[in-house]
Order: sequence, then structure tokens, then C-alpha cells
Amino acid sequence: MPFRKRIVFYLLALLISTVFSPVAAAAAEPTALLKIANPSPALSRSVAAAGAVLVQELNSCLLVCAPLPALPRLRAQGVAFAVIAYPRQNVSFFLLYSEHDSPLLSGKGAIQCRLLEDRIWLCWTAVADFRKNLAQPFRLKALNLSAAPAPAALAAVPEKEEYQALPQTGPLLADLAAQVEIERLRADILALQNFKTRYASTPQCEAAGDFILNRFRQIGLTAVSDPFIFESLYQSKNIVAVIPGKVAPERMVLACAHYDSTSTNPLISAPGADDNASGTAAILELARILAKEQFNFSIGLLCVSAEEWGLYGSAHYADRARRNGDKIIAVVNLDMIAYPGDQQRVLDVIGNRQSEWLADLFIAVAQPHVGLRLDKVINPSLTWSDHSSFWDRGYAALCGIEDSVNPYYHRSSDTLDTLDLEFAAEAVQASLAVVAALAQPISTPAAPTGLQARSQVSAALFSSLKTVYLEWQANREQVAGYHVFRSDRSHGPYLRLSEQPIVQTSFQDFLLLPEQDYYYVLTAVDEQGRESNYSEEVRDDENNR
Amino acid sequence: MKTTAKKSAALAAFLAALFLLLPLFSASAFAGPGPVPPQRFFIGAAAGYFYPGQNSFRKIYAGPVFPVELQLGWNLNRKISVFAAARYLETSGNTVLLVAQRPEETYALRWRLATVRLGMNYWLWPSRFTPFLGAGVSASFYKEQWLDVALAKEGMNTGFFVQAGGRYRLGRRWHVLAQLEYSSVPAVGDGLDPRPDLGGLNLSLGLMAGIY
Repeated sequence: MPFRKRIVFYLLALLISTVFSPVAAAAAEPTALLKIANPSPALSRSVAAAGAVLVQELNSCLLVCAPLPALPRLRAQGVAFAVIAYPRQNVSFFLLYSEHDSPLLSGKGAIQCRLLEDRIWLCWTAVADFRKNLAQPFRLKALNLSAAPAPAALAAVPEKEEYQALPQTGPLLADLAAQVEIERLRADILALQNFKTRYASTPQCEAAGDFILNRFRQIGLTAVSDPFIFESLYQSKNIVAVIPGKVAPERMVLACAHYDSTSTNPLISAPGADDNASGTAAILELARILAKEQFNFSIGLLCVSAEEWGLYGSAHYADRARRNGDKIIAVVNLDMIAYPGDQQRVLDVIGNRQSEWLADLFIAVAQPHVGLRLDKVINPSLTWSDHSSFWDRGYAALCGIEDSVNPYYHRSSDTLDTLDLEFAAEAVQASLAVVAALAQPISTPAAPTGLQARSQVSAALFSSLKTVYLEWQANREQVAGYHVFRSDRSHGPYLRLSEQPIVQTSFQDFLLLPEQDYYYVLTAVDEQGRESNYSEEVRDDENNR
Repeated sequence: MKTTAKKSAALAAFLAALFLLLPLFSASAFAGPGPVPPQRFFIGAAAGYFYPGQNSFRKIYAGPVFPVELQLGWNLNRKISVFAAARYLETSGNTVLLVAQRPEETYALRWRLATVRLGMNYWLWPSRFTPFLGAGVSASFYKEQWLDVALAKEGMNTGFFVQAGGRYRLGRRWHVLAQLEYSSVPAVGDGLDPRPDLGGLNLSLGLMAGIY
């Protein structure tokens, strides 16, 4: 967008929000912010049934925003809750992580905090510069109390099953991982560190964004700058590049990292080499290597800003993706991947319950390619990076992060010389293999396309059965047939339904449980017995009329 | 299918009206003291027409249902008798599609219901034609079987019934019995309706005989 148009756009947005916000506030129903202990899928349903909005899932509790009339309904359903706050206009709410017994330095009137669970606080304030009252270091996540809850935010935890990648992708992934270059990581981290600070809202942060944009373009990718306003006062921008998929480009695997930084003196010095020039350099390296390949699905490469302010950049991106119905297969967020510390070389792979399949896949696919240890951590309370914005909108996302505590975290001393770039390179190799596996390198024969699923339930008085009808387009090249795979959880593991390749381009799956969702993929098999990648995945009722 | 259901409903309504009005006319025709069955015990057999009370049941089992019943009764006095009965019905139907995508998909079903019933009748006045009111409880054992696939659901549910009718004395031992009955047997389903009711309206005609 040209500069002049952008200015006009922001002025219009400001004008509209100024004019309409009092109207909206006047019409808004009074609400209460509730803490509900012991989250479960059943509790999640009760919350939705009472007309309340799930604001945040944590390990031991839910944070729920409910209109006041809904409180008796919740009580009637046997939901035990404690009212923490009554949201008002112009009061912002944050989730705060602090190692300190009291997260506040001074100015208690400016900001209020309530402990939700171990080291996690709910804070609210009407003051813009409240951060100066917080004891360093801290981590923040801005909460949107009016956001619609993610679909099935508290899905039942599926049984653990080992992910099985298609065997022929292994050597290719190894070849891709071998292309990661430590010197390129070093150069990019240094370049980002040399901006002195990348604190969102500063001109240096804007310049760092431009640097990333140019690096994407040098690689040959189509990249755009996506500006946004946060906390009503500040502006920053996300940088997005896309490697278009060849088979189903509307489906995307997203790799992301935040490029902004902070410190105890963020306006002057916040080099943020580990946090998070390391993750940003990883995204640039992924872009360089993956741009030369062709994949079934698109790969999005996203560098977001204002993470340190409260995950604003990723929330901006994820909000729009949810609104547009973007089909994001998975999000791999890299945040601080270059400080292994004195302990064992461990990269934590953090997911929530819905994303456990992705964490399993990450470890199964990446571990053969790297020497560092990959540890799965399923904990919805670990919301302190951009993966959390995608969790909140119902997308599967994980965060790759060093397991050790970096003593230079959020300090002016977080510089390149404290990092272990061999560790970082292995973390990049792991992420590269996973992103490539999810996006599926083009195979021979080509993966089948146009898979559509319709399902219907045949009901008797005391029982019912689901039937799923699958149809797809015939491959352009000559193939011997197709295999059909099914799973009862998105992205498998899949069970092959066809003993021999099916010659037709349709399949009926009978005698299924009506209340269960099923997910299907296909492969094509050529005359030599070679099997293609999986097709895009479809849910059984995805194309119902 | 709709036409059949409508015809069945109309037939049921007609028979219901007939059977309800018949005792009144008969009562006036045979009013006055008359011989009463001397036997303390009686047995009976009846066949009838069952009209399912719930729409979901009728959607699946649209055809007519003809139950048969055996009854053993005990006249406590001239006004009150108690009885135990066993009723059986069987019918066939077809599955109903939810969110139909391929309307041609259908599965044949067989429905079997055996009901054990305990009840009490109150005989309004003794005459050649004796109308009665009755009520009781029932235990219904059902089996719903999919004929095309290996799937069947069995279970038992309890319910109640109320009835009205009359008996017409043919001779020393024999009577013709006609009755209209409403029953309710609530159940929990996992199909078209989460709370199906296995009861409905039942019209039956049979023979009774005093045995002791």
C-alpha cells in the first residue's frame, strides 16, 4: 500500500473507532471475568452453553468472560467459579508471567494483579505505560475479552500414537536439513542485533522489518509488509512471505518467529540476539532452502512484531486468518533457539492439548536429523510466545524453544557472542524437516487432488451409522490406483482402508460411528508401485450440501 | 410413504371412535341386571392394530403393526379384576437419513417388542355387554435389528398403560373383548430420537373364556 494511502487508512480507522467506540461501549452488556478451576471438555461446553466466552485456557483453570446474567446459569450447571474482575471500558487485561513473588514494583493504583496459577497473573490497567511498574523480567500476553472462543478449545486429549511419516520423504528431508548453514544464521543474527534495538514502536524495529522484507525478496519470494496498530497508539508491521503450494496452495504450513526485542532499557539497547534474532534468522534460513523446492501445500514464512508487548503481531495475523477461514495446517513458532546453556542440548517442543499431534509429529520427523534432544511439553499455560495467538483461534501450533534459562534474557547483554550457533543450526534443521514434511515435497506420482468428502447418518430408533462418500479427481499421469486413509484425529496417524489400489475415483466408507469426526487422505500408486504423498486432508462432512 | 401413514392415522382414529362409542350404545341396549361370568379366572387372546405414539417411530416403521396378546385374569369380585398379559409385535422398516447426501442409501430394519403387562380392570356395570376401564404397568423387551449389517440393539424399558373397552358375553364361558389402549414406554435412544417412546395407541379385539 502506498505511503499516502496508508496514512489515509489509519486516519479513517482512528476516526471510525473514535466515533463508534462510545456507542459500542454503551450497548455492551456488563460482564465479569471468572476463574474456573479444573478445565475439562465438559466444562468448556457448559461455559459455551451459558453464553460465556473462553478467554484463556491454562493448565489448572479457565479464564472466562461472562455476561452478568449468565452467572446464575453457570451456577445452575454446577460450575464453580470465582469472579476476578468486572471489565470496564478503556481497561486492558493481560496475562503476566513473573518469577517474582509480587510482579509489581510500585504504583499499585495503576495496575491490579491476581494470581491465577503458579507465576501466572491476570493484570488489568487503564494506564498505557504500566510496564514500568512491572518487575523485570516479565512476559505479557494481551487478552481479548470479546474474542470468540476457539472451536473445541478444550478438545479431549487423544491417545498418544506414534506419527508415521511416508517412508520416501526421509532422504529428501535429510538432504534439505543438510543445507542449513551456520554462517548464514550468524550473519542474520548479527544484522538484526546491529539495529541496537528492535523494540516495537521504534524506528529501528521498523527498519528491522524492512531488512527482513528485503531478505525475503532477495531469496526470490513474494513478501509483503502487513502493518497494524496496537494499544491504540503504536504501529508496527508483520512481514509475510509465501512459497506457493503446487497441489493445494490454499492450505498452508506456517513457520513464524517474532523479530522485535526488548530489555530493561528497550528504547536504547535491546539487541535480542537469542530473543529472537535466532528465531528470525531461522525463518530466513528456512525461506532460503525451501524456496528452491516444490511442495504440495503452501509454506508461509511469518516474522511478527510486538510480541514483547503482548503478542500483538501474531494476534493480528491469526485474527485475520480465522476471519478469512484460512486453512492453516500447522504453525511452527521458533522463539529463542540458540542458548543451550550448560545443561544437555535440549529443544522443548511446546503444544497444547489440541496440538499434541503436531508435537508428536515434530519429534518423530525431526529427531532422526538432529543430535539435540527434542522434549515434548504439553502445557496450555505456556502462552508466552506467538504460538499462543494461534491456539486461541483454534489452529494447531507449537513453539520450539531452548530448554535452558538464558541469563541474558531481556537484557542488553543478549548478544551473538553468548549463543551456540551449532545448537541453533540443529534447531533450524529440525524445524525445516518438519515444515517440509507437513508441506509435502512434490512426489512421483503426484499426490491426488480434489478430494471431497460427504457424510450422512442412517438412523434407526436405537442406533445409527455414518457413511462417508469420497470423490476425487483422477491423476493426470497414468496411475495404477489410489489408497484411501482414515484417521479419527486430524493429521493422523492414518489407517489405510484399501488393501489394493482402488482404480475408481470414489470410495465409500461404511459403518462408522455417527458422533465421531473422521479425516481422510489419499495417495496415488503408479505402475512401478511408487506411492505419492498424501493428498490434502478432508473431514468427513467437509463438503456436505 | 406419507400416504400410508395418513391412511393408518385415519383408520386408527376411526376405530378409536368406534370402540369408544360402542360400549355406550351397548350399555344402554343391555342395561339392567344380567348374568355375570361365574368363573373366577379367565384367559384371553387378542389381536389388534398398534399406532406408534411418536413421530420418529412412525418415520422408521411406517407400515402397519399388528400385535397379538395372551391374557390371564382373576376376577377379584364383580367389579374388579386383575390380569397378567404378554404382548408381542414385530414389524419392519427402514433407516432415516440425517443430512441426506445420497438419498438412495437405506438399510432394512426389523423391530420386535415383547411386553409383559400387569393391570387391573374396573367393570362399570354387569350385563351382557360390560364396559370397563383399566390401567397397569408394563415391561417391554425390544430388539431392533439391522438386516443388511451385523448390528442389533436390545434392551428393556418399563412403562404404563390405560385402557377402556368392553366385553360381550356370547355364552356361559365365552366373551368377545374389544379395547382401546394408550401406553407410554419412555426409552433412551442413540438414533433418530434421543428419547424414543415405544408406546402408542392400541386397538384390539379378542376372545375371553372363563376357566374356573
